Amino acid sequence: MSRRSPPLFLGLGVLLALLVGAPARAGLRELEDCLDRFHLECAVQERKGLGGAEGQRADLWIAFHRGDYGAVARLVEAGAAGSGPDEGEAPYRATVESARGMVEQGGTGVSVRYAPGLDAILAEEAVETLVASRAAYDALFGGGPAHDIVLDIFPTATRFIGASGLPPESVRTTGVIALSKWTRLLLTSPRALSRGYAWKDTVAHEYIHLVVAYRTGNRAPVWLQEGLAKHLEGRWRGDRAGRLGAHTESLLAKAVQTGEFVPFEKFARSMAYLDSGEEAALAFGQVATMVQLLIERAGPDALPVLMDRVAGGDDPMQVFAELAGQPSFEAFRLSWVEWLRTQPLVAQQLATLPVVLDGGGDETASDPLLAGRPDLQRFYRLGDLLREAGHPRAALVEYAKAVDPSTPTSPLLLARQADCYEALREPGRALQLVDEGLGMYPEHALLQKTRGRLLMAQGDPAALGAFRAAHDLNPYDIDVQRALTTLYGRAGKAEAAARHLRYARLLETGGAVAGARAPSPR
Amino acid sequence: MVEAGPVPQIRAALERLAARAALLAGLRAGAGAVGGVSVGLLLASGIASAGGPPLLAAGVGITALLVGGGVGLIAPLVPAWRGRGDLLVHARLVEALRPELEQRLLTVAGRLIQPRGAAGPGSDLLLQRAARRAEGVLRDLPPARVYPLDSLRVPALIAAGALLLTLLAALFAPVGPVEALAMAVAPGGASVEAAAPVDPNVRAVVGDIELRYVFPAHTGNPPVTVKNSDGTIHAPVGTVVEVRARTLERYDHADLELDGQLLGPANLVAGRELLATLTVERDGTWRFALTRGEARVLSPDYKVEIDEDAAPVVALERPPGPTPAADAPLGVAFSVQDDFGVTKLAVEIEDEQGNLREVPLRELLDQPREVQGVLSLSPRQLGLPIGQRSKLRIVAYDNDVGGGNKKGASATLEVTPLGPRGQGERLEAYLRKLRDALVDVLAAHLLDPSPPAAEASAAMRWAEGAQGRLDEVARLRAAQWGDDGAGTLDGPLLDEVFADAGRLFRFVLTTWEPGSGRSITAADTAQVSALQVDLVLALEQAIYVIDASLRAVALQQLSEAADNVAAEARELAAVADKAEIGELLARLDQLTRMLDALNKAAAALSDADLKEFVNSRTGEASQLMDQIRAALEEGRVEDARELMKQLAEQLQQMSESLGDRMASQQQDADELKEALKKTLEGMEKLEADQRALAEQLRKEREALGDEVGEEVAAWAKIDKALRELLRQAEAFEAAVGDGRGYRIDVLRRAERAVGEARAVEAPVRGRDPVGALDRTLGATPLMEAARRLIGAEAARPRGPSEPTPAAQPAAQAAAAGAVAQLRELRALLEPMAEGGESESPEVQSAARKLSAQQSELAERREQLEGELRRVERALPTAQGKATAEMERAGESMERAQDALSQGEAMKAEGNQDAAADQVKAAREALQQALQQQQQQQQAQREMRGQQQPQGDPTGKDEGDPSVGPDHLLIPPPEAFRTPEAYRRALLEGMSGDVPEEYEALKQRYFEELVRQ
Repeated sequence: MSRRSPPLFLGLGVLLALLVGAPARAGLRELEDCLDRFHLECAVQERKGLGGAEGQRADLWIAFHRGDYGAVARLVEAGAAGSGPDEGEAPYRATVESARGMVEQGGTGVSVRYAPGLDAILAEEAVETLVASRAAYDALFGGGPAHDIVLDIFPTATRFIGASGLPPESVRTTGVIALSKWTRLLLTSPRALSRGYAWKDTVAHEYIHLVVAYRTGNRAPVWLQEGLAKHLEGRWRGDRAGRLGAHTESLLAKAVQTGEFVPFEKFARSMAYLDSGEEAALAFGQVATMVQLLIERAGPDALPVLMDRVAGGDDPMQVFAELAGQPSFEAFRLSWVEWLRTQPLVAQQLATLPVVLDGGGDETASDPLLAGRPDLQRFYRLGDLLREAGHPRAALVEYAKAVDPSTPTSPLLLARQADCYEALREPGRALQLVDEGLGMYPEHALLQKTRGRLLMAQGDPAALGAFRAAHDLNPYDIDVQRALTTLYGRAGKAEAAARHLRYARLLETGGAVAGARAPSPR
Repeated sequence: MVEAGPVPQIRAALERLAARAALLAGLRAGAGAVGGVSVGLLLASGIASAGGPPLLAAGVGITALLVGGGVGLIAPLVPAWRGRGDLLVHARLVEALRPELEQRLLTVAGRLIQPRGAAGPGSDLLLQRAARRAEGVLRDLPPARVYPLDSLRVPALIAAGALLLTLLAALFAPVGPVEALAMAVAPGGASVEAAAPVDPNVRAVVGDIELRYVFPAHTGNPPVTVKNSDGTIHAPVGTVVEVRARTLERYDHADLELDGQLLGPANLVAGRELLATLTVERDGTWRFALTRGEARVLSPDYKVEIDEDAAPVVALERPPGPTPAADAPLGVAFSVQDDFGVTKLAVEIEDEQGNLREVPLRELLDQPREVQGVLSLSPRQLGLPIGQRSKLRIVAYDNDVGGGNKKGASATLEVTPLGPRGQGERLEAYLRKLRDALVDVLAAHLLDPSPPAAEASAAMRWAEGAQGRLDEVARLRAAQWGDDGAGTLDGPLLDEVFADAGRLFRFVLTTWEPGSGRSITAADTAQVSALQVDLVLALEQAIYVIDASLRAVALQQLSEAADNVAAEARELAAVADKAEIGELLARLDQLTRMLDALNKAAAALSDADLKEFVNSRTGEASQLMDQIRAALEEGRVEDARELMKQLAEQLQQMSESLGDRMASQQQDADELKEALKKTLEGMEKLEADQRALAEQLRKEREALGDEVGEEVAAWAKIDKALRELLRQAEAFEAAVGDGRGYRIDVLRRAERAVGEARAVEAPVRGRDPVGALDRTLGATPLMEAARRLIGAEAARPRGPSEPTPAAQPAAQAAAAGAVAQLRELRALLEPMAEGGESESPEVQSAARKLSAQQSELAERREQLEGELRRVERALPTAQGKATAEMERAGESMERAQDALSQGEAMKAEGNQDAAADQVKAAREALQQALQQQQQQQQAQREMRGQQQPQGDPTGKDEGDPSVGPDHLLIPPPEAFRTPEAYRRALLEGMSGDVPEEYEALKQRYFEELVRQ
């Protein structure tokens, strides 16, 4: 007997523990399920029935999803994170570290956090963007989360990577700069990219992901998520066309011509397994235009229905097809191809603008043509040297050598050539080049700025729009802020002029806010 | 005494003997006098010729002449005089010769000399009997037996010998006996003016002046005769000058005058031939004073100019830049020349206070008249203070023992040695200026029309103007490196630029020459366009490589500065909890200064994005620091501490970003290095395989009994001659340079000759003997003419502003070399061109079988070409030359492939060999680019102040691994005990393996060594 007693007691102990802990674990699972479905309020409700270690762990999860990093830090210190593999996936400590010193600016139902200093220039407009996005997309999709939406703008890619939980190599190679995750939005500051990016649309894009995940209980597949986000990302600012970038359009045009689309099956479950950046871009273009077609045919009211049916467990592809008036997704796909042929796509061969983070490359590294072409960079650099030495005409000769007719046109080269023509007092020619460049690369801040400068010199009121576009891409250019101050002033828009004057001063002083104190980590 | 019977005959016979004795004595006296006089003359001549004082020579000569002559004259006469009339003397001699006389003759002679009337002993009868007997003996005894002529032999021989020596001295001694005595007669004493009135306005006509210089012994110079002289005497002090001249008219007497003072009589032969001797002692004038009757007339005045035994002349042939590296050899090339020999070399150093000191370099035991060397000591080895200006002179001492060793000094070199950091800063500033100057030149050339002008006059104007575009570049280069830019980053780049510019200007000047009547062809236009492109490419390459180095250094400096700032910020944050406010503020000030340095480094960046990245971060940090200061001043210490942590973090992020970028660049560089290695290996293997296939084809032919041996050997010789021809043509072109100093037509001929010579290559490569011979025959006369014309340029009169072509001898030598090679080619090609037998069917079949292998090689080559192209694009120092060579190799392989498939074995072989050579050339071009990249990296290290001391010149220490390959100087011979040790040390040094990128350099190094 004595020999049997220990296993008996051990077995009873385990059974007792399971019986006592079972309700708590079930509550925690439900809470986790709520968070998975992006329902923070639901998770808060589930928290109420939990106590002890589970309660503490639930607090940690909720705090992490809310973006309350002060609480996260405290709970992690208290041992709430646990040590299991599931807990290890959430980058609690890294997020706390990445968010250290960030300050907050709130708005209606939104909270924007950013690093003090130059990124203060983003805060005001980030709040505006997020508020507008909430209004636009909640209405569009038939509702949205009730909790405050937290947007963290990380000053560097390194800090973004830390808070994202993604492998650094993956972020740097894929160029991911924003995420919708843990019911929050994570954004890399446009300052971390050499020439900025369309960060406001990106905020809206990520918010769409959040709303769609919330509305569908996180059941929307990636293709649907990306299609909706891509097509609708400009709608917060009233852009209903939802046009794709010139590069994506050119890929689509080529696919329409050759019939070589990315098979839907290849990315239906995940976009991560596509072979190349070009293929991924084409896939995004395909789904975005499918959404466009759906909205064209069924109207925007179809979107809440789509959300509800997907949330209810219907097959997203079938629902999508039915809402578009097709019996099957294949039928929808064929009609989409036909529709695509009628669209005015940019047929010119273009390339995507590479993403270079944290000063990780020189200016040519972020150029679609010159990046990876040291032989052409040589002529580009020679052109720069000649231009800077006051030989614009000779510089044009070198810039011309940097053009490879078999590859897309370089926006950087176009900007430099425009500079030369401007120096040669041929602004018409310069403007022509800039317009040509912007037709292909509207997100090229330098081209926008050059256009603004050229137009402003001619007294053209369109200069305001160009500078405004440059500002939306890269607000850290002091010349752009000064120009906007002047132009808004001339236009009698005192408030806007004052805002950009404030930005200009912020840039002049290196981002100082007199007497400000960086708050402790949240 | 009664003189009867035989007695009178005896008297007569004895008197005859006396007369003969007197005659012989006289002859001996004469010979003695001649001998004595001759000895005197010889002594005088000898002393004078040896450079002795004229008075001494003359004095000794006259004394010897008088004494010798007197002794020689008197000595023989004295005994004769004493014995005059004494018949007994002669009788005794006869008695001695004929003892049978038994004193009878003496008895008779004794009687004969007695006074008349005195009675002698004995009777007359007995006397008569004795006389008869004696007379009989005397009668039979010829006088020559008593006084033989043999007694004259020795004096006569002595006299003849002395006379002969005197004659020889007159003929060959620097100062003849007569001239030597003349010095004694008139050593330059009294004025002649007083002797006879002279009209100074009338001068005698004197011509055919011949000067024979006999130099002092220490000079080591042999005598020199100058015919048809203008009379001016140039010689060092102590030189004896024999003057020969001819007057127009006859004179009775001539004197030699020096500085208006009589020096002595001159020999006047036949009234017109003048001969005189003088010894050079000082500057002045000399002349003849000629007398005819009462009239005295002077010859023109001729100058005596002392050729000082001048101090050695030291010339600097390759002065260093003004700010050499403290630990690198100065590398000053110099040459020394002296009249009579150099004994010692040293460096004279003058510090800023004017203090002088010498550092010995070499003792020259053989006292050469010319020395060439290189000052290989570093400023530190010379003890020059770093950062201070010193004046250096290479000094040499001559071997003049009389006047003391005279010192010659080179031009003064003002140098301010710089330590690694200073050197780096200076190099960076230089490269920046050089790049900017080159950018201006590039701008001008990019905008030139092509061709530069249609009209001849406009083209000439363009060329004249464009030639000056590179002047600023040349000036900067000279200011930085002196004459020695070898082994630097910019050296080969600029050499290429200048060479291409030279080719372009030369072509334009020759092709568009006004008045040449030559019409411009489409080929001319195409050629000038190609040359313009070449120059632009060279400029682009130079600018890009220099700029890339500057950019890399700026980024490295920025990264280092960012690291320093981040470290300081971390430390500040670490001590923030414990340190006093004062200390924190002080450290903030320190951080501010470091941020300023960081901003300065950022300002040097060319990348606008990166500059913006850094500026925004430093601006933000500055502002944060202001906030920290404000918090500290307001007593918000906790706030300040928190902000310090934030600051540290921000700066750390910036530092890491830059570090990432550097790491990324390093990764790219490593990948490129790996790709380069792989490509080089592939090329090496391809070359080897191509050669092996060619060899296999040869062996197949041999096995099939084809007469391959001779033909192959002949083509091997032709290939060799062709290589040498191309080398000479290139050397010729390089030596002619941009054509300054040459006449246009000469340049045109030279251009054409080089072009024709190069055209020989293609048919030789294609194993086309007839075509190659045609080309050779066409090129030979052109090259010959070019050689002749270039040679004539050396002596052509030039205007004051027209430069003399610097490398004309080199150009002429290269042209001569090219002519020789063309002749060699002709000799080799002629028999081959006459042959032309077709290959046997078996050989053709064998060739066709190898076609597949050749095809496989062609595929490999194509693959390699793609890799090579990628690698060259990524390598900033590459210009696509390797790819171009690889493309040529592809063409050769294609021709080889065609030839093999058609069974043309010989043609295939030629193209296979050519392909292998071209692959090799491609590999070498890539290696050269690699080597230039090494120089680029070395320059970057130097700019960052990472230069390290140069090793021991003997190579016995570890040396400096950071010193670039071209900085390796061949050690000076004086660093070794023997020449053999020197040679051995060099060979040992070169025997080791070197990295691939240094292979080409190693080869050049060996070639240089062999030239030494």
